[in-house]
Amino acid sequence: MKWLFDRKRGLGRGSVQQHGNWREDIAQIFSVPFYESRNPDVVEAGIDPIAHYLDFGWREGREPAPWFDSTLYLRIQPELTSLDMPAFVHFGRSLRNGDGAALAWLRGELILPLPDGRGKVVHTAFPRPLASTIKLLSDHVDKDYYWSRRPDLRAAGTDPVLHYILLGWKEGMNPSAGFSTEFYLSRNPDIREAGINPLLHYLEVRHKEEWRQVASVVDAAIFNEFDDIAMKQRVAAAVALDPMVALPDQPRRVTFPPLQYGALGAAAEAMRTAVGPTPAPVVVLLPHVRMSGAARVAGELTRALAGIDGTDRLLVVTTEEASFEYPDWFPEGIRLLDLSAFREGLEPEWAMRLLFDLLRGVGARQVFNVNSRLAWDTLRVYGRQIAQECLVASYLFTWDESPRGARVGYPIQWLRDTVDHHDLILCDTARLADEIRARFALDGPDAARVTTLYTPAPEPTPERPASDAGAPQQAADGVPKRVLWAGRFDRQKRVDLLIAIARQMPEVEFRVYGKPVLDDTPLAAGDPPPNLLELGTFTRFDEALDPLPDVFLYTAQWDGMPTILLDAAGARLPIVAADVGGIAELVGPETGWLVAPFDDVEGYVAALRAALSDPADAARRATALQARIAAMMNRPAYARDVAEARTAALALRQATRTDPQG
Amino acid sequence: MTADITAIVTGHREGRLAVASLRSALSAVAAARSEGRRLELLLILDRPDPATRAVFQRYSAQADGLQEVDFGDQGMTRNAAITAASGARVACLDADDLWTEDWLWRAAAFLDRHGPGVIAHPAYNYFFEGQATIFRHIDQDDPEFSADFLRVVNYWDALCLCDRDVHLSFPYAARDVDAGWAYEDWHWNCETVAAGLRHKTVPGTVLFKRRKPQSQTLQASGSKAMMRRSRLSSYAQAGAQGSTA
Repeated sequence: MKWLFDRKRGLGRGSVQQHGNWREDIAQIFSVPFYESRNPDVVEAGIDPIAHYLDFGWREGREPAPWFDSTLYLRIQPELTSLDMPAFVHFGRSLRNGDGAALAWLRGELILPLPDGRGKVVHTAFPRPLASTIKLLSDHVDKDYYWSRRPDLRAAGTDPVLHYILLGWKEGMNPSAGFSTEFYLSRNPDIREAGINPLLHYLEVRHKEEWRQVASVVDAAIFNEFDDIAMKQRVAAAVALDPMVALPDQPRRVTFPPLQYGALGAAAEAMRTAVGPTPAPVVVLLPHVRMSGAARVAGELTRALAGIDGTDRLLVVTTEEASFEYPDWFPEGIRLLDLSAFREGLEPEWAMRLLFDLLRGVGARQVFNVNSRLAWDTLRVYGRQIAQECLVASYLFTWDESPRGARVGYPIQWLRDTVDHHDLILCDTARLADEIRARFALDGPDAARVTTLYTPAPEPTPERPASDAGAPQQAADGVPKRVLWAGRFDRQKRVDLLIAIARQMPEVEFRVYGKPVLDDTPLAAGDPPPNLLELGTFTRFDEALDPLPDVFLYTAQWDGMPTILLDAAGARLPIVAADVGGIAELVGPETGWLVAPFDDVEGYVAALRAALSDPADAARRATALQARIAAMMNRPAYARDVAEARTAALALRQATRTDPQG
Repeated sequence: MTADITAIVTGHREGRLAVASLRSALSAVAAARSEGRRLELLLILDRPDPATRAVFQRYSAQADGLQEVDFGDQGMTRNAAITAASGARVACLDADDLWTEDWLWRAAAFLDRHGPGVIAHPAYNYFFEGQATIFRHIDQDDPEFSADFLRVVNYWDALCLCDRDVHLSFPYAARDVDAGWAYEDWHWNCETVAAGLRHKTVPGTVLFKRRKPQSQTLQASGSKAMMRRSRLSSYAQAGAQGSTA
């Protein structure tokens, strides 16, 4: 194409030498008063306005003259943006070279390249539109749509926005699929008579003149069909039968499901394609597989189910995030689906429908929800129906507590709304299971709907020599006893208690690992004493075992079955822990020291002193705890318990539910 | 009598709103007869209130039958009427909606041209009273049609014309809002699409649908009802169907 202004004449990237040339190009047309009036910072700094413009101003969007619009200039010649030079310099040079188009610009005209219909491009001058008009319409002219309907304009490099403003609307062009030019002009004849650009008018008055009729291109075709004489007669006949047909007396809108729900349909298709036709009678739903107790439990549950049903009958679905960072937690060869990718951008209710579609699509007969927010939300809305088609099981860990002490979370509000849609509620502690049975009167035959599953414990830390295990070194002279504390520095874990305990035991070294996760208060905010050492975080528990601690301390206000306790027990550390959640199911007088209430600082101090003063007793309790965990929390027992719980739930279901399909 | 088309008007508690609907049905039946079609008009009431019963009785003399059932279920009511129908084809109208005079004969002529296995829908539903919209029905042969979409969003309502045998093979499922099941028309659409039937729109036709704030559809969506599982629900079936069935 021919350039509106010749860009090839000696243009290049800025340099000291080129600045000299640039200055010559614009010296005669640069408006110093204008620049100074708009840029008092330049005046205040005492910088020469032209130098400032060439060095900085043009990059900062500062204009060199009241009649020049760099944005518009570049709009009609977008290729100039790659030259890395001020548009005004290009213009000034074109002017000096006697370019007619530059002179036209000076006259307030704009030269637009246009196809002449015979394969050539002619340059035509138009009154230059207001920059505000161009800005307003820019977001509403679909360049691809426009050019797809006028390939000749694309070939000529004609800017669609400028073309629509100057010519297109008069030629009946639509700026996008969303606005019919002809429809607006035909339904608003005052605008046609006034010769006003219809899109500009609509954008300016849409909030003030809501009675104006506007339509997309497709809708306009439908409205026009309803203007057809035969269709008008049909409507008139209906109105004659019932005048209410004409109401509400307002402009009609066209609705078409693919327009309103297209994203949901596309997601359903993409997900169905990704999953394929192979059924999955058992589906495990979880938020993601990042470092979290729930994800690890989901892995154990999947492993147990796969052991019973076979890997090929299972589908594991992440619903909130794509992360699958710990594949080793799951059995090899398991089918995975990241539903979060398909629900992205969908309204919450649509995401629920997508999940429902997935369950039906794969022929799910059993659904296990392990902390999936989407699953919980879907059970709240469609739990009645899903429960009629599938066995519904949800895993519950501990609830959370608000800063004011209210219990919140899946075991509270979500379970309240969905308890009757559940065939099986799996709890990681007996204390939680008992609490839920009591709260919802799930007794008698219904008691089987709530089951405690003790998560298989990690393998005991293997690296330590047998002689070390459970036999902390006697403190040599001057070497303090060591207490290990590891966890999140969050409200739940009551770091304030840890600090208070450490203050009361200045002779003991408190080795503390962790960081704030849910809250953002650092440990230092609690003004810890010097015998409390903050040691950062570890990736493996055994990193915290050198030097070997004498006791592991666990503080918390509420909890389930903390994994860190299992790690400590695996390392055969004596344990002093708060009596919260399911901890008492492991730790008692035979297996450690339990402190109640959870905030009894004196109680912790007494227990720690007891453990530290009698290493042999401490070692005996640690060994007993390890044995208890080995007996309670192992994979064979877990798999057996999962199988038994499911069998009981299926039997109960068979006795109480009917399949909606008959 | 064996009819070409049985026109069915189902009533419930519409009261005098049914007058316009029944008059529109009579006009459509008369127009189809004048086009040479043999028409049967069946009126059916499901747990009606006295006002609706009175209106239907007022027009029963111009119909070929008035039946009363006790289902409390729109789909079951239609099934009963279809079972009683003698027409080779059937069309249903709810007693608060309006047919146009030319709907029945135009839809019949359309089916004549497009052969068996086709279900004819009006091109548009013109919603009135509570809503000023024109709902555009999609034709299954439209490139925008997707069976995957139909699994998650409904395309068509039940006020279509098709062979009676289609309904006998695929009766409407029971509605049970307490148990969470509704949208029997959506379910029927899924079942028929899965069976290979084709839903098409009759150009230039429109159905007038009253949208009241308390319509059954809105009630169902407020209580988060869902359609029952259909043969289209399975990915194995949907995959075989293809995205543009």
